[in-house]
Amino acid sequence: MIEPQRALRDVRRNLRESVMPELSSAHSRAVLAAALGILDEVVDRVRLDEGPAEATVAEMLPALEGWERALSGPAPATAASVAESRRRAEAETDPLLARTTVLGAAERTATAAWGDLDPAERDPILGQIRQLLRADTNRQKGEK
Amino acid sequence: MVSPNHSEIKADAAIPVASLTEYFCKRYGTTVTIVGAKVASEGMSDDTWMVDVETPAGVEELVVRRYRPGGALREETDSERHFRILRGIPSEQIPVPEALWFESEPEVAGGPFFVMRRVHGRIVVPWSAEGRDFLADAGRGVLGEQFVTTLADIHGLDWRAGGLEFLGAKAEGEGADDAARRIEAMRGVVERYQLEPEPVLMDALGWLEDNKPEQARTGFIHGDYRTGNIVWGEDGINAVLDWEFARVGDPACDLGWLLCRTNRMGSDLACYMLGRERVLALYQRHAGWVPSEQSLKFWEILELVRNTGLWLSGEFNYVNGATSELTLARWSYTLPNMRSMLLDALEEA
Repeated sequence: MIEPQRALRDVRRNLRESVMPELSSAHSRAVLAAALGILDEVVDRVRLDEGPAEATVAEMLPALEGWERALSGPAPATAASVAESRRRAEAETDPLLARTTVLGAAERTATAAWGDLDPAERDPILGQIRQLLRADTNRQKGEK
Repeated sequence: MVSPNHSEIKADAAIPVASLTEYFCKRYGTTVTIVGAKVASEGMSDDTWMVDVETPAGVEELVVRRYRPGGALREETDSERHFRILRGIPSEQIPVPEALWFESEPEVAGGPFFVMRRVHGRIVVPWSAEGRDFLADAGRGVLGEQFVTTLADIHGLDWRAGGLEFLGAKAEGEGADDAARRIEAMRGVVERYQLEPEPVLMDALGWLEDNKPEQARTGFIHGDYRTGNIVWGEDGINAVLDWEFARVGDPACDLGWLLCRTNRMGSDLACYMLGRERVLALYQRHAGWVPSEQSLKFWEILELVRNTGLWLSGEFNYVNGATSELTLARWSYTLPNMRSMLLDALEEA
């Protein structure tokens, strides 16, 4: 994920260095100069919204226990690592890090589902993972 | 030979006119002048410059394709290989630009590059409003048909007979395990470039492993065949461009990509040009076979993974400082859309 401050600074630099010299009309240059000024003022105030990450963690954490149970027989090492992820995500105070932790558990569970589970066991877990990832992806896209 | 005065040339600042002029003087063996130079596009991996060179015989309209450091999926592309592919394709069978010279040293242009003759015609951005209108209209006529029959011709090339034998196949059957090789390559791409866990991509890779199709044919494939990589003439295709992903493998890959949802966003038309059934019917009629539905589904999902991997590599290179280009940073913000399309494809599979 790109830090918003860095992206905005690079946007501002590109506008100033690449776009401004190409503008010939006084009005266009004034508009761009104003935009550059606004960007300069807001760049340090912009923060990633933690709300989507919090929502993903809240939705995924309960599912992790079910994945641990399903994997405990056919893939015990993965089940143990998912349990460890669950404990870390529960204790994590930074929602962005907690989201990364539960996504890591989902990644390892999906890999084990394809490698170690029979289709009858695999399909419900993958269905649930996809549903949860769909919700997370929609939030990352900015959808409510 | 003396380099001419460049101060009056109308040229984009990004193009190193002085060093390119010296280079062309050596190549032509006489004093030449660059009389026009502009950036045509800054793509995901290479820069394309339109350069007009005045020689004693007249003005040569050339294209310089510069391999850009920090571009996307660098391990999948190689400028010299790209040049050799263009040189190896028989232009009487497949319309391609004439490739003239390759330069490996970075001193001239800041990276390896090759030079081609310019092909005139129309190149469209398929997802733009103008591109969509043009392609939908052209798809109803001969251009639509040629778009598919040219692909069948590419697949039918005898790559062992001409200048393409370097692509592989010392042993009989090489290229026949394309699906397994591409899964392995894509797993490497995802592991190399992921900045956070990628459960959607790992799910997709698991699906691909579990659904490898029988490879019905082995042939020369373009690797990025879509309407944005074509130079369109009034009544035919003037050139097929962008061969950096070409290889010997499963021709179904090209069809899977042509039909892929990333090439028809918000449209029912494959590559914004043709209905799916028409694509497959035209291919069947011209090539004499058509891949199975299972195979097409496999390659669509694999190409979605590749496309997402491309985006991941752009984000990775930007975050890690290999590039500060906004075009690559932009991809980071479209990754959720790519993951969403993969989820759609997996749920429909």
